[in-house]
Amino acid sequence: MKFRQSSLNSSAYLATLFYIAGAAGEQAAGQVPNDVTGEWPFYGIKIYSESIGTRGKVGGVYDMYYGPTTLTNGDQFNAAASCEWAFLNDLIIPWNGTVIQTT
Amino acid sequence: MAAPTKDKTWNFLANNACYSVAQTALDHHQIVMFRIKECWKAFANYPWTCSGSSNSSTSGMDASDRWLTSANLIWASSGVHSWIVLRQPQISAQFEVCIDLLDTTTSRQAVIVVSPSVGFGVANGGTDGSTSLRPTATDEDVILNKGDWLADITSSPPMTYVQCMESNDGQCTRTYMCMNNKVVAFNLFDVPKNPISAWSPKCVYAWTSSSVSTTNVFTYLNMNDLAKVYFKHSGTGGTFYCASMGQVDGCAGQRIITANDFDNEWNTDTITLFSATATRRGIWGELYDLYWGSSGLGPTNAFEDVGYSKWVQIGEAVTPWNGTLMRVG
Repeated sequence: MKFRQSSLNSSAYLATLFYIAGAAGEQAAGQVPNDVTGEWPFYGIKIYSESIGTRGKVGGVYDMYYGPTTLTNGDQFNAAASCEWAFLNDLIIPWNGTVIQTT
Repeated sequence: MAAPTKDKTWNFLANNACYSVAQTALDHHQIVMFRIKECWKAFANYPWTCSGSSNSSTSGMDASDRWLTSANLIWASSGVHSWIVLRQPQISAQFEVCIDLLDTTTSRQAVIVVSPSVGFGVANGGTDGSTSLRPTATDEDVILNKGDWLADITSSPPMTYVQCMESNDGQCTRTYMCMNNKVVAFNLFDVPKNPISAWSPKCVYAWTSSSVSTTNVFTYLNMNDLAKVYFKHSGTGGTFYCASMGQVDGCAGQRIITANDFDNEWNTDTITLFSATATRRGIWGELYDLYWGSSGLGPTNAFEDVGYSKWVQIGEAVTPWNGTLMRVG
């Protein structure tokens, strides 16, 4: 993602939980619901820059998570009632309770 | 980033110098292990207590500490040897650790067994052991099986510093063993932060060492690429990776090895407990007051919080510290 610091244009990664040099949501054990709670993982996102002049942790993002990459676009999560979160392109985003149309 | 806000208040028994006058590996190992035990029993708020012991001549699960001097620590590959069971009820009511001085070839090896909730001995459904056999527990978890509890030293042991810390609620005990300017071994017996509610008993434990005395142990390669923190849930054990934030092909602290360009502060990242163990997969919680740091810093790099060295780098992790200079060799 792009951002600007003072007069410097820069870019950053949307970082997420890692182990064994890979994102948890891309690894087999991270692509299933928690074995004990039965809940699908929502992996938090932080913004990290590696660009000279803006290196380091920049911040986070509101209400957006990485999900397991085995999910399908349009998969939905029922939080309180129905369809409050939806999976799109490896990301889990808030949704409005309706069935999300992807085709 | 500013230094993290501590979750807990910590009590330190810091910079315990262990020097082998005899300059033999065995003498060194006896002194270091004895010092660890003595520190755990000496914490101000919630000291660990002895549930039983063997000095190779006598034994019993009778609350008697027979490790009166370092000479009482007798290693063997079989037959008579020393062991001790230590209890910390602030982790769980009958949380106990058995340190069994059984080795394959050298006294840098030992057997470390945890009973996360039941406790060792006949009184708790296990066995009391003897001068030749350690006691057992019905829920025991062997976390080191004649494995290295301290880095390899074949001769001329260097000055070794034992760093012990316990949260003042007794829920977390950690020991760092330092030599040659490295943190070469550590153990951790903790209640986790933000655990999933169904987890029972809620505790984690680890004892791991570098294979050589010139390498840090708490590194991304050792604790993020390998699952070395143990736990149990409903009788079944598993291991955790110390997961961290990352991007591309590694953790943020491995890829960004400079201070933050914005504020010139070093980044720290939460250590998340992630299990890939079958039937125990997923995120289970975090560690209190222990963070991943940057590979760009070495041991003893101190972070200035309010005063001096409120946090200190150990390998590639960052731990609370007591404001003094941490001795690492």
